[in-house]
Amino acid sequence: MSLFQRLWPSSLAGRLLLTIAFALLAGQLVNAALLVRAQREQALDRIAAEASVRLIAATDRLQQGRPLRERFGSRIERAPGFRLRRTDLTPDNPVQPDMRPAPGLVSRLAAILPSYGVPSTRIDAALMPAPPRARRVDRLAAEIGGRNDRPISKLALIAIQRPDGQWLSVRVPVPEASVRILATIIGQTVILYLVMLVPLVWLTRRIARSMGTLREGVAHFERTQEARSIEPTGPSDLADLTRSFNAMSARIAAMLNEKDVMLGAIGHDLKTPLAALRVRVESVPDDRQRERMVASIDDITRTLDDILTLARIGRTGEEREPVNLGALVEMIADEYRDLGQDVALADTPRIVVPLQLTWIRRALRNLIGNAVRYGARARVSIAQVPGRVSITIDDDGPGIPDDQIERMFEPFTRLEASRNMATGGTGLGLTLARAILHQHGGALRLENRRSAGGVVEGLRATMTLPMG
Amino acid sequence: MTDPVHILLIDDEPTLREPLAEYLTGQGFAVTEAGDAAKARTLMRDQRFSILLLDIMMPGEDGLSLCRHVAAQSETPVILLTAKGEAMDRIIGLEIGADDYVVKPFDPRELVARIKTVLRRAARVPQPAEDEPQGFEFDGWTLDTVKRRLTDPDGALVPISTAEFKLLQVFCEHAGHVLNRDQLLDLAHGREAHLFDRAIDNQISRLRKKVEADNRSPRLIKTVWGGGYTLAARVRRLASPDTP
Repeated sequence: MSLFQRLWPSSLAGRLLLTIAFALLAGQLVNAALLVRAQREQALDRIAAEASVRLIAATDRLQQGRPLRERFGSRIERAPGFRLRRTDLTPDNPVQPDMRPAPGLVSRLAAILPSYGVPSTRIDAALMPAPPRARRVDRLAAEIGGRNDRPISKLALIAIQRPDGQWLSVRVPVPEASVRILATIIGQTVILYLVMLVPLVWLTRRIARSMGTLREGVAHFERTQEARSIEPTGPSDLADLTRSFNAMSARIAAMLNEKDVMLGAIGHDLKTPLAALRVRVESVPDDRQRERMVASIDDITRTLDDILTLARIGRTGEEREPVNLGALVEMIADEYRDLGQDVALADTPRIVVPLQLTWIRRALRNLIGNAVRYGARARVSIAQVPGRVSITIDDDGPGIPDDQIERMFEPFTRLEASRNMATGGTGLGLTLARAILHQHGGALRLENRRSAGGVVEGLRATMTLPMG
Repeated sequence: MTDPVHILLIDDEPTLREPLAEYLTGQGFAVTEAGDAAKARTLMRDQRFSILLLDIMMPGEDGLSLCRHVAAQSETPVILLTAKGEAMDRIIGLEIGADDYVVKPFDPRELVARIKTVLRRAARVPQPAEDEPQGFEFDGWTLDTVKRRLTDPDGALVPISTAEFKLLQVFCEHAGHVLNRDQLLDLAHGREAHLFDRAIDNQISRLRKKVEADNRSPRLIKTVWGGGYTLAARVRRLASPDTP
């Protein structure tokens, strides 16, 4: 099982919730990325605006022949953080190749500057680390800004080459990306989760509860074949499904009841004349004739019983009771031994399984009976594996051709017609045994036992039953 | 016992009733036929019958209802004729007061044997139903003599054969007494004892396998040196097996 399979919930509610949670998270991540991007664009706009204002002012001064800096400084130069806001005129390009270029600023300035008549032959922009803040400033900033104050760590250096070849450059502090935006997004996500997931949990649980009721109803019907109306709850689709199921189970139950009544009537109607025939046979004087007639009547009776039994499996009111399966196997083995059959039984541990005793006894009798009839002898063993118990019945017969095994479970199937004549089976024994085991939630498997050389040594029937 | 046994045969199907009456008459019984429960009730008011053969499925009042009536009103034994072979039918049949049952189609000779057995039992035990315990309890085990089942101390059914059941019942009825083989045979199987003759030790060993924790050193069914066997446990008689 892969990690995904282990973490992926199996219930509808779990899957729905997890899927929605993932979709929501993805949406929020996209949202966050867009916000961060917008914030960066906004910062670039602000830097470009400040840079162009200062470049325009500096160009004006240079054109008017005034010094680049006033003695007492301009308003901008007196502003806090002035040290970070230098304007310089240098013969060389101050933007060094090892600085991170900022093409976003270049393109913005290229759009702004010409319209204000600032002549430039080249525009260059890059980001550079800010010089450390003086301690005095630091203290002051801390007093003013409190905890929100964070020292500027990066500067944008924007330089334009004037027509005379000199470089006019300004430094603009880059506003720090706010951590608040992330906090906002996380907070938003949490609120969204609460707003969406709480009602979703409520809704899915309601749906799950309705489906649970329906599932229980289906299981109950499967087990008892009694129609028990389930109250339609939950969303209309589910309620409709429940109503459809109710109608269907009621119809099936009615059909099954009809079948029972019919079979009971057939059984009674056939058995009474059979009984009459059986009594009349006693007056046949020829012993051989009489015995043959009795044998025929017995055959008909057995087949009739098997058919009626097959039709009634799962329909009797017999409750499942805890039964010591080991003792049951022992009793049936003893029965066959008393008839002179060769039945070997391995240790029979005390394994208690809830089952319908009459039926499982019948299945076991059929299987052990087959083994001694067709396979000369039966070797029976019983073993407990987690959750289930399995009974193995081996014989020493000719086995069954592999391609015929599945067919053996079909009603009235015998391997060869001739063999049936000699041994007198109804062809329903395996069908019955398998139906009984299925009714108990178990299974019946037939396979050929082979020697190391691949020669068939006999047949193995394995019946398994759930422990609870 | 010079009087012939008088059988009242109640079945709605003349095709079965008539040949069966004929056969039983041929076997030396006196047979009166009734086609339904009402006719049977009328007949029983005027005459005494030795035994009733009663079909369960009949139009009008069915066999079970009539059987209950007979069991309550008289001591006439009843053998049910039934088309069903289900365990539930057997339990119901015996619980409502029938003495035995045969499943259709039955071997008429077997029916005669059953009739004789039931009559013999009825003659031997004049008051059976009232005082007979419904079950026994020993060392945590429960032997339900109505449903003929053995339950272990943990409440699990332990399937045992009829012969083993009878043997265990005899042990319970004579708890603490030492029973030799002949006594066990006689008590468990009566006149058919000779059929089981050799099997008694075998049955004891099978029984031990099922009720003893260690069947090599049996604690419950003990072998008494030179004597026979005994059930070494306190046995409680149960009026109703469900309330031990």
